[in-house]
Amino acid sequence: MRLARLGSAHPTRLSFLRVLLRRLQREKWRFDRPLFNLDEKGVGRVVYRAIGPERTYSLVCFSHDLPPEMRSDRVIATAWDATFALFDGTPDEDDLDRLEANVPLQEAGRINPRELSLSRANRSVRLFDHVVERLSRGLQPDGDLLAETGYLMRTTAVYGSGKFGAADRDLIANRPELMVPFQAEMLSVWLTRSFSVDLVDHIAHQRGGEKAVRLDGEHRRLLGVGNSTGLGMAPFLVRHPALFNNWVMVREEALARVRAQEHATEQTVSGFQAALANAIDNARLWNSDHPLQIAKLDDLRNGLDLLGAHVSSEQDWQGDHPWDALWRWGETNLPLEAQEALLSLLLEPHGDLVDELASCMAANEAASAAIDGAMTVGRLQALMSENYDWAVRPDYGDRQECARFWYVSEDKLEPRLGERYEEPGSELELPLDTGRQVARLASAVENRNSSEPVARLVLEEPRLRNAVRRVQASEGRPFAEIRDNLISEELMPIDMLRCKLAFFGATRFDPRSDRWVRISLFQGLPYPGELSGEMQA
Amino acid sequence: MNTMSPVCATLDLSLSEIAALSCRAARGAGFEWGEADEAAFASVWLSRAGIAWIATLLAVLDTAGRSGSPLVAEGRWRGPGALCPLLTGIALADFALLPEGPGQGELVLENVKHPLFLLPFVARTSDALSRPLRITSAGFEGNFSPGAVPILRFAGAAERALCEASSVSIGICEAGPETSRWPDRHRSTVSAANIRALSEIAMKMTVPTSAQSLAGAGAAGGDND
Repeated sequence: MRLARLGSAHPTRLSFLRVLLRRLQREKWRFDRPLFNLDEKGVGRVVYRAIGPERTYSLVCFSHDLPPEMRSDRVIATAWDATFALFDGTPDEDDLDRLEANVPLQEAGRINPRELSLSRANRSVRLFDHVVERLSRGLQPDGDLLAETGYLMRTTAVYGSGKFGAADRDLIANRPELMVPFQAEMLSVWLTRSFSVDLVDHIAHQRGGEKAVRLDGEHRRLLGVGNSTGLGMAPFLVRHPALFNNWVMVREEALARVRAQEHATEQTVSGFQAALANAIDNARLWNSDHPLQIAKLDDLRNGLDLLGAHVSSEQDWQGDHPWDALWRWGETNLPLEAQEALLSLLLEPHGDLVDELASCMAANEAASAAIDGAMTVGRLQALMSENYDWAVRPDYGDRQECARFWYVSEDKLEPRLGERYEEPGSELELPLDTGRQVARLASAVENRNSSEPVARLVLEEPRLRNAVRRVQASEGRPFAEIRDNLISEELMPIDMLRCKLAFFGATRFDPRSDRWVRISLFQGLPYPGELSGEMQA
Repeated sequence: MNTMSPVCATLDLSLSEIAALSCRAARGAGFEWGEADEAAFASVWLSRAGIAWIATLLAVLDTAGRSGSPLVAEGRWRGPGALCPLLTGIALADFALLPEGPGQGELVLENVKHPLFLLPFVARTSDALSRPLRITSAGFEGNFSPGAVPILRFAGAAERALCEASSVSIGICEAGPETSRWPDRHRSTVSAANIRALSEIAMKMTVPTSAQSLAGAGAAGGDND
């Protein structure tokens, strides 16, 4: 897949948060809030529980009194409005005390394998204050403002998978409810959504007393949980090729299944129409000040209008393979942004066809970890021809093709993107330049004996080891690589971020620069206790 | 990694943290990225096997850069000097199915430093061959069956196997008695001192902070609204 398409990705019913909510609903999970201990300033502890047929998970929340000048979404922040841990089970008093000593410190504290995720969130100050002010006076807030901002709080990091002492993914990945990627993280964010609403209700009540009202159902639906993301997330897709391959493969298989349908039923057609109407609505409310995104939103709105017109006039629903016809029409007539939206719309009414694919989005990464030293150079060359023609095309001697370098910063140990010809540090660059590495590999083996084993090659040229492993791992994994030059001057890191975030289920993608984005999670979706009936995004 | 708390003498690391720190440290010590990934694999394997991974890794990385790559030949591998166990282990697994590996007959690896660090790669070689392997050296012996927990016997304290360079012999053997599954060990308790030492090496692969560096990460304009 290329970044142009990946960077136009839309959430679908196979996104991780949708998969989570379907399971919670199907298995009739129960939810409660066994602890709600906030003072008059909203400071204190709250615990939410999700109780499943076999296991219980608790979101432990610490609400703080953050001085405004300390509020920052950057990973270099040291204090937050609220901090969280997802606990495996129901925490007792000792657990809560231990967590209180560590969770508010975030990266500076330690958690243990009873914790599955560690996160923090800051208030969207403008909206939060508006909502408190209205609720305290007995009024609901301005719906347009809610819909536009989309969240009362936004997470600025959600850590899982063994970070800072949390449970390793291997420890929990066998549990059916956690097998699909990022289920723990999504559960944590979903419960954080409840916390953000309960917090605003509480503070409004403190201010307004008897007069105060709670946020009503209609208004709270308009809110999700925001998220602020930068480059920290970008290397993930490159570092996990087997996993990424499976995500894209599932999406392609899902699309293929829908296109293969000989006929469209009345139900699926009306499901499609409803989803299209939602998408048009969403595109109207989806705003950004970033020129790149403004252009894409224009593409989206125009594309959806075109799609709407086509569907109500030319589309032959009674014809043979109508979904395939619609997709082909879209490929020819719609900009990428709208094509990706169309893909999501095609999947939406076909849950019975595609939902089971979710379990294929996990991956056994250990299977591609070791190099096959017995593979011949000739076979390696064949794999490169098959999967890496995109890699050998650029002239890496051209400054534009190598303008950037990825590295880890000394402070906060976070991934960053530097300008090779303007900053120091490129000798320490991270191996995210897959294209260039494979091009070097191709060149290095050009004159080698094709029957030579790869073991001999990497022994003599150890710098090629990473590229060899990736090429070998690409066998049977056509989507393992982002087929673009990730050190090019043209790279838009937000394309990488949007791709991953769309798989999470994020909406309202709003770039703040070419490497920093805001999104919303769970906006428009049910709250715990509201899980019933069909869940449209 | 937030390892700087002076209050704790020990720290419990997750396997993910072990892998990340080991990879960065190996890179910081001058190994190639592909080799650093192998160091991460080895550390995680040793940790799960209950072996002192961090002391071993510190010893392996405590060289003036990357050196000690084996001259690979059928039956016997040697160096100009003592062999690096990371580079030798990597090559062992790479050559598993080839004539230079242990599949055809006894393979001797001469004068390997800190030979304990070879064990994860012997396990991988056994898996690749789908055959049980036996490893023998002055300090220890081990029996490896594909996918199973290895059986290890130390001659004296395990630290000897850590510190002393020795020659190591690897060959296919009879299948051993049934062994148990891998323990469900997902933590490693390490000393703060060792973490600090490893982190210092890992820091060598990071780029120092500069105003430019900080600007290259965040939003243009305010991020607080």
